[in-house]
Amino acid sequence: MRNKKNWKAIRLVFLMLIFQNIITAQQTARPNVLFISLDDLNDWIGPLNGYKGVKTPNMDKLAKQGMSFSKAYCAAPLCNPSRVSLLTGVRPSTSGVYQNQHPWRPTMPDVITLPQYFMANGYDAYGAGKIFHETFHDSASWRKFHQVLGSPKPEKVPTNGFANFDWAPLNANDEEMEDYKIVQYGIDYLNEKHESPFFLAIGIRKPHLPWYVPKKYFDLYPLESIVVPKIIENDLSDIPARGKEMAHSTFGGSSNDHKFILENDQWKKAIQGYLAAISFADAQLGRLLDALGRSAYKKNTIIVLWGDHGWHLGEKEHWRKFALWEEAIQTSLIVVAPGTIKPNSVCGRVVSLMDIYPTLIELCGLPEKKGLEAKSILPLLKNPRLEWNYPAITTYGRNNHSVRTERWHYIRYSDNTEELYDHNKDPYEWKNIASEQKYADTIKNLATWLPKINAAPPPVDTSLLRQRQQMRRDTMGIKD
Amino acid sequence: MTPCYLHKTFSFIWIIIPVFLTSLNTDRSNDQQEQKKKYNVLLIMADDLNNDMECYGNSFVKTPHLDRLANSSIRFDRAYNQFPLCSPSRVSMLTGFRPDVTGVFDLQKLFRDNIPEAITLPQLFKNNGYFSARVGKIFHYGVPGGIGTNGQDDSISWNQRVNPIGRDKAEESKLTILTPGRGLGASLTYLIADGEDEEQTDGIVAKEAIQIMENNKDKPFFLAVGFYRPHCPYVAPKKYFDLYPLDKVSVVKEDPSDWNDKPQIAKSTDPLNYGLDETKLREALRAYYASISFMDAQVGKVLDALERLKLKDNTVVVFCSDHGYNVGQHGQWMKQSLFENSARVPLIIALPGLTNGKSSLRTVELLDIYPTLAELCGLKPPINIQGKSLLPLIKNPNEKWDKPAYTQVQRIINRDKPDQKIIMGRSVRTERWRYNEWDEAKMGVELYDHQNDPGEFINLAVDARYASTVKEMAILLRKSYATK
Repeated sequence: MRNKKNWKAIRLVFLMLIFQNIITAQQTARPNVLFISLDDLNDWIGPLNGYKGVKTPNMDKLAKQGMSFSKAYCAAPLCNPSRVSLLTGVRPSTSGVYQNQHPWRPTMPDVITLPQYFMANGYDAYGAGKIFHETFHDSASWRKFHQVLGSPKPEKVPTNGFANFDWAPLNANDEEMEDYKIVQYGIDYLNEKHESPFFLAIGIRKPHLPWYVPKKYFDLYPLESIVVPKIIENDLSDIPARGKEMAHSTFGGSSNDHKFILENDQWKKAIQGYLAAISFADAQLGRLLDALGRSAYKKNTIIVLWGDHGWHLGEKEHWRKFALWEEAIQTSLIVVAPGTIKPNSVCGRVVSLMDIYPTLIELCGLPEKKGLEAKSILPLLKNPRLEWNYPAITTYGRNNHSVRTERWHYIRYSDNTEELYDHNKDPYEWKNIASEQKYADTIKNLATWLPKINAAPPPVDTSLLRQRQQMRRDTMGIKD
Repeated sequence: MTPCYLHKTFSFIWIIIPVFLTSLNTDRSNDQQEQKKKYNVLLIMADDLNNDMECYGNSFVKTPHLDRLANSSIRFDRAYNQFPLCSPSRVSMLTGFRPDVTGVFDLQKLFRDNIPEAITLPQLFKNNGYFSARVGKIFHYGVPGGIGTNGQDDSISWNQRVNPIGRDKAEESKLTILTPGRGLGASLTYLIADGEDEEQTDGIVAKEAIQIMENNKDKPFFLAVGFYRPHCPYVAPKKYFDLYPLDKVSVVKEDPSDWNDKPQIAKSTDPLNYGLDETKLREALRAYYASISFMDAQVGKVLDALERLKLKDNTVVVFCSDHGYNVGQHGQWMKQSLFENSARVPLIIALPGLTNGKSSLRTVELLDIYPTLAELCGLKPPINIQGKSLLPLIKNPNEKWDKPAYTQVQRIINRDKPDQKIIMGRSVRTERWRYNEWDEAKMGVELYDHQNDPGEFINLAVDARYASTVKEMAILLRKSYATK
């Protein structure tokens, strides 16, 4: 008996040694990850052609090395919940993190974020710029995180719009822009020698508002060449009240964006600004990719580029994100994985940004992570035409959801009002067919995908109160 | 019909009321004084004045005359209007009914069309033998458009009406307009005026009011003095602007995240601050403050005359504004919002021999003025009016009080489009909480904890921990109106 036990122990130690060796061997071979996000980038990039004539030479080049996704959707159409769901693997409806002001770490103190999981498996995780929503930076997720704040502004702001909803060319060099410095951090990192495999996250802030970028990027898009999105009259006439409210009331913005644009004849100028900001961001991306190309990590680095959600530019009389329509939920996703992905491929299957977490784990050979509310799309990376019957779920505020399949787009608001669009016939979502009897079964099937958990939002962060009070006190003193 | 009937009823009440009132007055009465015990009423209203006054804690704004009045009055620190827009608010206050009853939600509707039998506050006094007079803006007037006219006055409420018009009206071409494109009556517009106070409309208001007091000092009067400032255009003689050096005026700047948790329908000013830069906002705010100080000086003249004419000891003075006024809080300007600065009003009541500068923290409403004045003067108001007499609080500012204050606004969605929709924003204010519902909560809910967050920065309605408070407040809110 005793001998048997000893033998068991010896065998265990022996096995552990072998595994240890395997793990070490794997670690040296493990690919690095270059994780690049662009803030507020919809599908207006060359490879996805969301706007004909957009100039993104570097994204074009990147797409040629890997796979771009023409139906990639966010889990929430606004920064904080979208990023948090991607980086934690927990849906907004499960965590209750629905809005930009919802702190996520206090509600999920034990959650292991994507970079954290890489660190737990022998990687170094470094980052710069905007990866998590600024207010809720998470120190547990990084060895080191580099923050850069502040870009030049035009002399007089707002120039063409109002408040932050503004666009104007800058008399400034790229070097003065925060995104330049954010990317520079990445370049410097890639130029150094690293012992461990790395997870390097670079969060580019443009094309987020305001669209102040050097003039040369505006010059790429002469005003007379700008084409405004195709829209129809009274597009909102068949939209339920909740949806209209989303069109005309944006969090942190203005309920009158579209009215302002029309009244001040700014539609083309605004689009010019967004395009300029995209091309500026693309140029910064180019510097980063060039640095990778020159580095020792060129052949052994997986690249993921993603936008955090879509962006309306007047479609459905709506601007910005903050809605559940196609323009607000669809975004850019490009994956480069040498040896796995056939270069220059496009995948038209529906994928979610939340799929990035399990996919990267699988691509890098890390142990499977339990409990993620997402699935690895490695099969699609290998074969983009594979049958893939998982819809993308997007949530905006408690109990408002969108279910997107390749053909259908179903929206259900918290008051049970609905929208349904058939993308085979109606790519612009002009006709809400939810009330037509013949689609009752379609809706019934789509509704089975609606999240079963709809958690309450987290408690309000009292530091926010202090911050807002302080701001008024600083300027007003006597007003409280 | 009704006034006649009431008149008969109340002539009998007059006989017993002076007896009752002796208990309020400290000095003992003889027959001659008894005659005098019938209080006069001097109702002074400012237009678009918020609580930016020294006596309400904003020491930057100079209001020495109102401060003087407050020193011998009771100051209500939590007084609220029922609908922060001139006409709906004034009609509600002067008829004693909530806007849902008057049906006046805009500047066009005339209350007599909806409630022809209403007996207004001045009408009640007139019907009961008081000399009822109005100078300036008491019922709604378009400002500056209607200055010099009767505005939307209610003729049967008064024995005498005076409609002053000053040089400000003639000098509109000289105005500095900071918000081009907005009508003068809703614009950030000002004039550093030449000349004397007496040449301005409000200067004439004071002069005419004093004249009426002189002419009628021997009979019981109800005199309503309605100033037109600080309503825009902000016009005041230069010396009042000089009180506020431009570089000393500080504008409100909110944290950029301020609107993240608030329903967008709560905005009445959009874009925030009309998209104006700080310099222009500072100019506007200085002009608003200058207009307040100018108006204050005119009030001072009326108060001086009250003393000079020895009317002070038997005149109830009520000073209030028709509603509050945002000056940049949450990026909002002017009225028509449910935020504290728009819903709150100054309310000061001087009752000779009884009030002495104390303040009350109870939630009261402009609606309460009607029953208060009626009770003080021994008149019986229509039984269905909706306010509550403030006499218990005038006697003891800390008296138990469980009546919250209700405020509402209207929003027109998709204006002039086929799917135009009119919705109501409703607010209930208790001593601790403000709770707002937009379109019966379909378009947003707000909950602010004034104990910790007097600036209304954090909307707790999105916070699950406050679900039970939201529920309680929703029930309280619904008590103020009949849900469909």
